[in-house]
Formats: sequence, C-alpha cells, structure tokens
Amino acid sequence: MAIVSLKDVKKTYPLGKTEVHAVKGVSFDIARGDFISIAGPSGSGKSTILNMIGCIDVPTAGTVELNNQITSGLTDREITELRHKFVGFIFQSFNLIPVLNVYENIEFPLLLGKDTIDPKKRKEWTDYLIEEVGLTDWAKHRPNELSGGQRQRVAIARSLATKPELVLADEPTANLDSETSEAIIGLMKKINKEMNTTFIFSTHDPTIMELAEHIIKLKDGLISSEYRRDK
Amino acid sequence: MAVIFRIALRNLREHKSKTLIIGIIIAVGIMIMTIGTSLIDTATTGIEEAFIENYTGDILIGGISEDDLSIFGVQSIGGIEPTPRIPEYARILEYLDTRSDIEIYTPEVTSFAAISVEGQKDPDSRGMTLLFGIEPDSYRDMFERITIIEGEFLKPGETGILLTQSNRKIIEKRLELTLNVGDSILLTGFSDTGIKIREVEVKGFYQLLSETDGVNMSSYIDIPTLRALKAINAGGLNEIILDASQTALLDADNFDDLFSDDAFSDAFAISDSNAFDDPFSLPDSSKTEEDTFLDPFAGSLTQNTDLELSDNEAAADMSKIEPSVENSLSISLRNDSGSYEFILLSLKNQRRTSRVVDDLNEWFIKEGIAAQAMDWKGAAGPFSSTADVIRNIFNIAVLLVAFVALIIITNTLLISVMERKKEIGTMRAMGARKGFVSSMFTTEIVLITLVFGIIGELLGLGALGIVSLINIKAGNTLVEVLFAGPVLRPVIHFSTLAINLAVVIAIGILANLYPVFVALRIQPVKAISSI
Repeated sequence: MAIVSLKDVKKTYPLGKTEVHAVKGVSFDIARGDFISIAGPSGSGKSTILNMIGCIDVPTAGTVELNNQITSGLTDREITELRHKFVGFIFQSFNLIPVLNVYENIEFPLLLGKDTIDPKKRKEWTDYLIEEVGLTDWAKHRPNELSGGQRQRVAIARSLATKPELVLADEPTANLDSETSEAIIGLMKKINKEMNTTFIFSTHDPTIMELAEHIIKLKDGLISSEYRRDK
Repeated sequence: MAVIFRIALRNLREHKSKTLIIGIIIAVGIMIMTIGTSLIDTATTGIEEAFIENYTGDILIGGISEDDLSIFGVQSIGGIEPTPRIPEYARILEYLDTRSDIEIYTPEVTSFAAISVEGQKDPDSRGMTLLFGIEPDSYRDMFERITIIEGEFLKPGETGILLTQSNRKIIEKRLELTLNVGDSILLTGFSDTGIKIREVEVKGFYQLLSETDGVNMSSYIDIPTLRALKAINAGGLNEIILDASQTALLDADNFDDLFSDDAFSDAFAISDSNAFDDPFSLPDSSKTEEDTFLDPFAGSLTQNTDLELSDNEAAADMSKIEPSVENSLSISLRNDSGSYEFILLSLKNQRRTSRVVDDLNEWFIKEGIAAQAMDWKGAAGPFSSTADVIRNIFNIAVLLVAFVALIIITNTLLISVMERKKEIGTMRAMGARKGFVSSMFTTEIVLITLVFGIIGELLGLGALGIVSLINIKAGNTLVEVLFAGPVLRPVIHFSTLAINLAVVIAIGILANLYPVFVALRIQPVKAISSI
C-alpha cells in the first residue's frame, strides 16, 4: 500500500513575466518502508517534488496523497499538524536551531504538538535517538561546535523525534565529504530497517543514489527512469 | 512555554548588538519617563496639597450652574457670573452628619473685593483680595496647617479680616503704607444690586501651607460681612410664628404708625432678647423639632447688625408669607439657601474622595437637590489644570519620542526576522504553529523591554536621588508649589513606575506587530529554499 502517491503533479513558478515549469507532470507511488532516492541534476525538480510531498509547497496541478489523504485543500493548521505527526525533515544545510544544544534540538519537535508528552518518556526517547546517531558525548554541545557530519546526524535524530512514518531528506549529503555522506546514508538505511520508517532523499551524486533500493530519476521536471533493487 | 522562553532568552544573548540597540532605546526612554513623570507627580502633588490644605478640602459642595463652578465662583466666557447658593442646606448637613467617612465640614462664601485704606497717599489706588467668608471654628479645624504670622484667627461671631502675608506686602506696596493688626481697611464689594463698602478691622496675617500665585491674594473674613458685601440675604429655615401684637405692625394704617417708636417697642417687648438682634428669631418655645433646623454655624449670624435683604429677595420672601393659625402668621423663610455658597469637606480617608463625590452626587439627584459635589480638581477650577497642562505637554513629547523609538525598534526587529527566516521556516516545517512563532518573538520583546525597562527605571530613580540630594531650592512661590515645598524632593509613585513599565512593554509589543506579521507570512518552503 502506497504511503505517498503523486498523480500528474505539476508545479509552475512565476518568474517576472515568464513562468518556470519546475515539475511538468509526475506520477509515482512510494510504499511504506521504502528507502527511495529521487535523483537528477540541478533544476530537474527533485527539491520541488520533496517540498510538495512534505506539504511545504503545493502543486499547481495534480494531487499529492499522504497516507491516502489528499493534501491540497487542507487549512494551514491541518497541514501543520500533518507535517508534525507524519513527516520528518532533513535539510541540506542541517537547519538546526543555533541557540539550542544537540539534546534540545532533537527534543524540539516533541514540544511543538498539541499533545503533551510525559517528560520522562520524552527524555528516554531523546536519549535513545542521541545514542542511535552516536552523539551521546555531544548532547550538550551547540550546533556551531559540531562537524558537518555530526550536525546532519543531529538532523536525522530530530527528524525521527515524533516517530514519523515518512522522512524527507533534501540532498542530505550535499555539504558532506564522500566518506561522511556514505556514513549518513548508511545511518538512514539502518533506521529505515529498524523502525520501518519510509525515507525519501534527493541527491545528484550517483554514488549516493546507488545506495537506495528504489530510485526515481528526473530530468527537466519529468521522470526519466524508475527502478528497484533487490533489498 | 518553557522552550519559547529558552529560545527567546538565548536569541537575545546571541544577537547582542540588536538586543543592545533596542535595550538602550528602551532604557533611555523609560529613564526620561521616570524622571519626567516624577517631576510632574511632584508638581501635581504640590498643587493638590496646596489646594486641599489651603482652600478646597477634599470635596467641595456647591450649587448648580450652567458654567464651570469652582471655589472662585462661576466662570463663564462673559466673565464672572453670580455664584449659586446651596439649596436645602439643612438637609445636606443632616446627610453629611450621617456619613462616617467625613471628618469635618465647613461652610463658605466666596467673593472678590477692592481694598483701600482711609488716608492712603493715592486715593485712587486699590488692592485686591479674594475673600473667603468663613465660620472660624470649623474652618480652623479643617485647615489647621495654615500659620498665623501676626495677630489672631477670627473668633466665632467676630467681624474682621485676615490677610495673607504675601497680599499684605502687595497692598502695602500699592497703597504705599504699612498694614498692622488693628488697622481698619475699606472693602468694596460688587454685586447685582450695586457697590457695597464695609470697613473691617485687620485681625491678623497668615501664611498658607504653600502658595499659588493669584490664589495667595486671599483673605479670611467673617461670613456676615461678606454677605453684606455681596448683598446676600441670610436667615434660618425656622418657621416663624408672630403673635398678635407683632402682626399688629402689619395692620398699621400708615407708614408713620408703622415706624413709630411705640409700635416698634410694643412689637418686640415680649420677644426674647435675641429678637432685637435678629428680627426673625423666636422664643424657643415656639419652635418644634420638625420645623426647626439648628444651623451649627449660625451663631455668628445672630450677632450681626449688617445683614441685608436685597429688594428682589425681600420681595420674594414676603410673597411666601401665608396665614397658618388664627392670630398668627407662619412665615416660611427658605432664604437660608442663599446663605452659603459652598460646603468644604475633609475626609477621614482621602483615597475615598472619588467614591464619596459619586455618593453625594447620586444622593443630590435622588433627593432632587440642585447641588453638586466635586473633588479638589474641580474645586480649584483653572488652577488645577496647571499640572495637567505640564503633563499633557510632557505626554506629547513622550509620544513623539515613543513614535521615533517605535520605528527604530520595528526596523531592528524586522532585520532580526529576516535574518532568522531559515530558523522560522525550519520550525514551521517541523510543525510549529503560527502562534508558536509569534509567541517566540513577543516573548523576546517583552523580555527586552522588561529587563531594560527596569534598568532604565533604576537609572531614573538614581538621577532623581541625585536631584533630591543636591537640594534644588524654589526661587518663588509658583516654583515652590511645583516643587511641593521649598526644596525639590521628587515624588515617586510606584504605581507610576509600574504604568511606565507597562507603557514601554506595550510600545515594544506594538513595535513587534509588523515584524511578527512578516514572520508569520514566511512560508517554510521559501525559508528553506533561501538557504
């Protein structure tokens, strides 16, 4: 059963008097527990598709379904709630909150929802995530005291804080060296297996792309190829 | 909430330069406000104290007039109008006696008069005085902080005048003579019925608690003399029963009979001794409890020989004469409503002034009495507006400064929002609601304004402390009133400090509105794509 379903999705941005067609009609399904890479060169529409799946952008045409729910037409509050409960984000530039330390950054999404979580359970879960990404000794450090790889580990742990079913990672290795990149993808894959969390990441790096099991290649806003590897 | 506070606090520390820019603006602003409001409070307190302790008491009761009534009379665009007299004086006093929150009250009549002295060098020269016709005992009890410099205060039933020390000097200079206790002066009063001149003895000179220019030219005078100067009729609310021999006077066939020695002596021969002094007084046995009001301040009236009835009022009073029983006439004299213009009240607790004023006014309306109660501000008339004018000028200046500060703070906060687009976008992407973002920025500005507001107030208090220590002396009486004493000792009201702080926080929140509006319009996707 598809956790994400895109049907003839188009996205057009106005640019002065002209229009830029970032996505020209894309359809695909992503199954629960997938570890999928959306690959393609810059400007192919990778980030735009991820943004629409993550409900931080809306399609100009077509529909995006998350967990069988069409996202267009939802109110800002409903969209915010959906993002909080269902989607985790990992950004290219990590986007950690600079004034919070590692522990606080990972805990942060747990403090946003309208449901109150027992502080003890919250701490146990946050500590588990820190341990999972191997940053126990860095828990009290601020983001500016960490390396790029460590920051991205924090971002991965943070994306998992609310136990989302889907994690979106927009070029998570773009700012990392190749060795760290492989380690980060490896970590994501490990969590994918352990927690059955669906991971969708975009990349233009062919080496990283090959680490995914399900690959969708884009070119000029259209799918150029899609294939699966054996797990 | 804890996370909002934590992020806000750390963001303030992280962006030190912006925090300092906003903080310094706020600290300097509130420091100026603290100093300014303290000096204005000092002036207000000075003026308030001067009036309450010298002239008005806590509350003034007067009649109803179309134009503004104050203790100086009625001031209209056309000039000074006749001051309305208190109607149903007896009922009002009875009501006041039932109230436990009133410490003391005293009646008063106010007027102006020209002063001259027989034998002065320039016969056309005149001094001026504001006359307060008073009942000595109750007035002295109420305004006990007035100092007698020379001579003695008026005694009950005594005629005479007391001048302020400052008016004494003015008069001496103008009339080119020296005024002493025991001297006689001529007072020229002006009324609807013409000019009245009375000679009175100077009983003494006094010093007010603090003096206000203009009002310090006041004098205390016995009420009967002042009534005479103003041509006010006087009397009691007693129902007067005349016996047959007295009514026989009215049956006289001609004026010769009416004013003959026999008729006069016959008519009063059987009255008590007071009757000669007071043509309307009666033997006690003729009064009943229901129709007799014992005016606690009327003692002085009976000894007065200068009482007058103006023609109109006399006619009006005569029209009220009506037969009551055989061989007698019941004369209902309600002309006591013309006896007093004001009743001044002193309360046991000044904080209840506003409440008591409201109570009194409600009671007047309920009882259909054409009277009004007002606090010292109303009673002081145009003089009370001095502090208000200063305060308004200061408030306008503060408003202008606040507007400039508002723009600077808004710009600084806007820059901060633009710099934190990524952070805001990330939070929104992770599920932060708009309320969370706005709370975060609001908490930041409230923290800045609170911390720097308190710092500013402490600096202001320090500056006021220094002002207090260096003993700035008042050069003249006006400044003395503004200083609330001979030396400037700034008054600090903690309520004012709290209000100032609240105002600054409100300005901060106001300045924050537009930046927050911009922050809430930031879409997560734009924030992320702008990285």
